[in-house]
Amino acid sequence: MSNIVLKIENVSKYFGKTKVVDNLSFDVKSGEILGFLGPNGAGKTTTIKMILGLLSIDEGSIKINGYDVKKDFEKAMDYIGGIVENPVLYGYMTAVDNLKLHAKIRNIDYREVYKILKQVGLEKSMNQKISKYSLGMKQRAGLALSLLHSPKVLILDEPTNGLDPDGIKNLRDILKKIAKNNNVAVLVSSHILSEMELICDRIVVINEGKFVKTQDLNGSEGTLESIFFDVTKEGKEDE
Amino acid sequence: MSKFFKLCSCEFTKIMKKKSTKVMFFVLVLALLASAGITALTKKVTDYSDEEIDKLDYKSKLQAEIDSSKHELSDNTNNLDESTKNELLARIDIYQFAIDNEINMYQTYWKSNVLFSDVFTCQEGVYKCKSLGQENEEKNLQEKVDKMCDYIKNDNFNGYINYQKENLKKSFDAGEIAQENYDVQLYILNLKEKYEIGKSFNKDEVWKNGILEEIDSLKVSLATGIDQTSFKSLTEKTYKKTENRIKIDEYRLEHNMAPSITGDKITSLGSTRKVFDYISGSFIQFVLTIMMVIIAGTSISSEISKGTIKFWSCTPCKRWKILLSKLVVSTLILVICTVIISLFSTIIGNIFFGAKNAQGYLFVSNGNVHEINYVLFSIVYNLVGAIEIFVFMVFALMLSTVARNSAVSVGLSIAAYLGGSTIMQVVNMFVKSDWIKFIPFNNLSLTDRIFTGDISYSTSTMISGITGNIPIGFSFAVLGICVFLMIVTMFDSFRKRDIA
Repeated sequence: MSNIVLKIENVSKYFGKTKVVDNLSFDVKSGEILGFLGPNGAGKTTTIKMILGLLSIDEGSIKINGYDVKKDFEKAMDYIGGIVENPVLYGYMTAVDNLKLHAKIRNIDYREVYKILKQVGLEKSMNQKISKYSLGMKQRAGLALSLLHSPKVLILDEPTNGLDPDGIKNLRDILKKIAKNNNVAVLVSSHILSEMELICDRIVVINEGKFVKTQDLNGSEGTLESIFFDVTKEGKEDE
Repeated sequence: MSKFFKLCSCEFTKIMKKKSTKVMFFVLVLALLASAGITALTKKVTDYSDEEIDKLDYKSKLQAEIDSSKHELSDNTNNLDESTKNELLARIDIYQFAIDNEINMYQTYWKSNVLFSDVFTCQEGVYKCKSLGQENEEKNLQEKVDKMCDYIKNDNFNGYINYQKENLKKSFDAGEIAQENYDVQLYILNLKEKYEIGKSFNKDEVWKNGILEEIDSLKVSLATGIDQTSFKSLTEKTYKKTENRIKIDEYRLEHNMAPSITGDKITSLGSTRKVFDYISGSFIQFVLTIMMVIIAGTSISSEISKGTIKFWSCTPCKRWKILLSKLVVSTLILVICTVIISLFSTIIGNIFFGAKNAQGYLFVSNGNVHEINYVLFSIVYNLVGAIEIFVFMVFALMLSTVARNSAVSVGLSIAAYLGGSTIMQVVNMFVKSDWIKFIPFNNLSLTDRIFTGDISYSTSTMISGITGNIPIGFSFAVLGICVFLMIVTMFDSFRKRDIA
């Protein structure tokens, strides 16, 4: 039985007076790859930042593997990994050094670092400085970083940004493998709908900070594209 | 706890791998070498070398003077008055004597001092009395001249000092000078005799004259109860300070330890090694401050602007731990750098200015002069300087977390460091209220105020004049409160605010 590892309950977030995320709730089960969709400015990145503890949560609660992000921050962060917007690595260090810093904090053996770099296809250039990396290589390094401590929940914000077709396929394979074998819950946000169709088991659509729709993709009728445009059209008609 | 330690170790790795840190280390070493070079230059500018003094042909110069004086005398066309005539006659005698006894006027030691001032005046007096027909007076003066010339001829330094003592006693008995004056002058003469100051010409011992001058003025201060440099009456504290100062000065004479700067004039430099210590100390402090301000000022803001702070925020470490690790590591780097650079400056000093010239720091406690080991002192001195650097470092770190902009935090901190004291000087000039002592900038320059044994008395009174005689403990309290407030501000700001 798959259990819920990421639970978002009635979460709201204000930037000044505007409500960016409005009473949002959804769950992610372990072993599931969830597509997180919405038009620009819908509050996807804000939600992801709140999950990762970068932004404070104004209302509601987020629980990772049963631990509240607000109250049990350190324990909650033990089970989560992710990249937000751009990968966040030190440009003046090599990929190996960057990952070793992370490994040190999380008590991980250094051998894991090399293993994970090989897995994302960076073993040839792992001793290069990050500043010399291309965008796609940085994405791969960021993925390696977020997978290093084998988290129970993996959050990826626009992971296919800058990846070549080979990299995208590689990413897809890795995600499917860890979701299936390690029972990891994956939350992916992306604009590339065709990609999401191939990767995700289920999608959640939000608009203007509000939950709109969730749908299973396995054996669903209608393409992702039609679902997405239905949602955005609804929003426009409201205005 | 172990997690925090790991966080610190990561922070340390990050800072050490930065290129800017490596560049700053290089600049630090460069600053040390530069201070060595500057020290060598100061010495060259202020001193004649021995060879240069030897090269100056004093005999022909004196002979020329004699010839021109004779010519002037024999020339009847210009009507010379009596006093000019006497002076010329005396000059001929004295210069001839100098040539005969090989007394170099370019060298300052007792013989040249006596001959060209005391003997000269007496000889002039002799001619004056002769022309006026005062035989008794003339005889008296002639005796004096002969006596002094005898001392010079026989190289009798002690005899001369004794003769001066006799004269002093005579004029005291005659009621010409007061008791205190007599005591001070006798004391100075005794010191001269004891340490043979000015017995022979030695340019490395010129500083002793400066020390004597200082002791003289300090003794007068004690006797009259009025400080001779600031012209304020002595309090109990400054009285004690003056007494201690005299003790240190005498200790220097006894153990032949030259200070960096002696006397009231800055031109009379003491030991080259001391000068180097002083210059390198201030250079180190300057470069180290800028280095620490850059490290601390960029540590948070650059991570925020590049987004790498997310790297840390998603790890199971609370935010305040991340910030605390940065503070701890910056402080640690400051301390380690200070210790290493102190040792390094000792090495450079030993190479360029001789290991045997390294002298410990002198201080007085319980009425006795103590000496701290040289290496230990240079570490302690720089660590006290590091307290000041720490204040500016925390300031930079605070601006870095609050403003989240490297340029603002580094720029403002360096501006405060460089401009603070200048602005304070202006403010202190116009505002004479008591509250200015609460301004943090008035509580800096700790090293100059704590280690007063190395700088001359007049300089140290000048410094305490600027900072308004604030007690050291008070300064520490003010700085401590400042640091505490800044730390509270930055933790509060970093904990609450979102990372966008």
